[in-house]
Amino acid sequence: MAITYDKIATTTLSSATGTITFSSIAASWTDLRLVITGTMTTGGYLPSFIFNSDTGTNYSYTEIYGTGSAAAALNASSTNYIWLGAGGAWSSTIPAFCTIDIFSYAGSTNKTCLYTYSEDRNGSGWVGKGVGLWRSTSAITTLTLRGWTDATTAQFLTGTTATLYGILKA
Amino acid sequence: MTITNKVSLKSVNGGNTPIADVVDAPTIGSATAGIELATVTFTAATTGGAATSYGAISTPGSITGTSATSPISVTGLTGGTAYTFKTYGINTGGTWSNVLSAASNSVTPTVATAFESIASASPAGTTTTTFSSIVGTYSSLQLRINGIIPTGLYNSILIQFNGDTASNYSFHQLTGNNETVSGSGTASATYMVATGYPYGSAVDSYPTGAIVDIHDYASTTKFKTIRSFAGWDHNVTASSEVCLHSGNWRNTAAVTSIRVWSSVNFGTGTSIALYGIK
Repeated sequence: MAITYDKIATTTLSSATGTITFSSIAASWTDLRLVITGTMTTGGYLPSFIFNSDTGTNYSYTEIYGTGSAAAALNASSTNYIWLGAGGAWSSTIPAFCTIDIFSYAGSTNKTCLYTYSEDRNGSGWVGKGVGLWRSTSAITTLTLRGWTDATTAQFLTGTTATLYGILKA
Repeated sequence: MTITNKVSLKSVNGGNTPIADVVDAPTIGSATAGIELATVTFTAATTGGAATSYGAISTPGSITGTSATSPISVTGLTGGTAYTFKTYGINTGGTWSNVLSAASNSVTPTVATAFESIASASPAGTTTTTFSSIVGTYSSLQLRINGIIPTGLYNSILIQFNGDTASNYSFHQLTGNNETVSGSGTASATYMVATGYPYGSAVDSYPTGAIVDIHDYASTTKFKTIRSFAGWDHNVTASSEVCLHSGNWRNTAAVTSIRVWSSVNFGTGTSIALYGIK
């Protein structure tokens, strides 16, 4: 019997890398939850994520976010990826904390996810929540996080931790 | 419970004379694993003395459970450990069968976790799902919804507790779409909002995602506080939205049932699951 809330895989980076990939994800659960905390190359970069290595224009997202002085919302359609917090950016020294909940990831519907990001910088920063859509009815078997929109522009720094959980309904 | 005494009547009198109320062993059925427990089915013997109850004993551990009828629940097992079970009858004097049944299949109970699945539904073609008989053994409840509403229709996904349809709910919300962020609130409502209000939920076949947390739901002294985080993106600017809700049910009763519904039928692929958090 599978466990309701199970850790599928986790990684803590021992060196900087441009991508973090969870592959061969079994269809054993109902939802997926990714928790990541980490830092990134200096320059105002932030992660993006894609499913099943699909780099086509099959993604869209909508989010709300706040800074120390204002709140805003944004939306993008037919993108090649989903930003993990388009309103903000990761620091190279203060860890960002983000989550992604992916619903019915192994089902035959299009895939919706909810994501959050918390990026306080002791006087500045961002907090936000968003919804993402991947217009595909394929089961998700691979989740790839990238330091920017590719694997080389920016890197997740040493110590960044990402853990993927599976949540199983009755 | 661990065995401390299983002396049979037959052994007491030396086994020389049949004793009418010695219970013959039941026939083992099958064992099924649960969370740190197992349920064991059996068929009562048609010979021997009358049994007032039946028991199952584990290997390893000699942990027992009893029941007047099949199945027997054996609790207190260790998650992740494989067990088999044998069953026995118990007579009016509390004495066991002098032999045990054959062993059951092997099962491995799961480890108890802080986050457990309670129930789920796939309500395609209907407007309503109700989770009832919710036990009060958790600290919080969480609903996770992948909601689809057929093309051309729209509506919020709403919830009520304990069948209460009176104006005992209130909520406020923070919503955002492509350009604007707005906040609003509703007092004395007849429901709590799980996903967007007054905006529509999913159209086309793009699911709405929602996570609804109900805190301290089993309290009998406090009103109930609810929060939800929901969103739907339709790959078009106009009808995509993300929203946060905070709500209150002004009732001190423990939440024992939750009705989740929409005014239009849910579409194929909709999944609504209820979890308990310890």
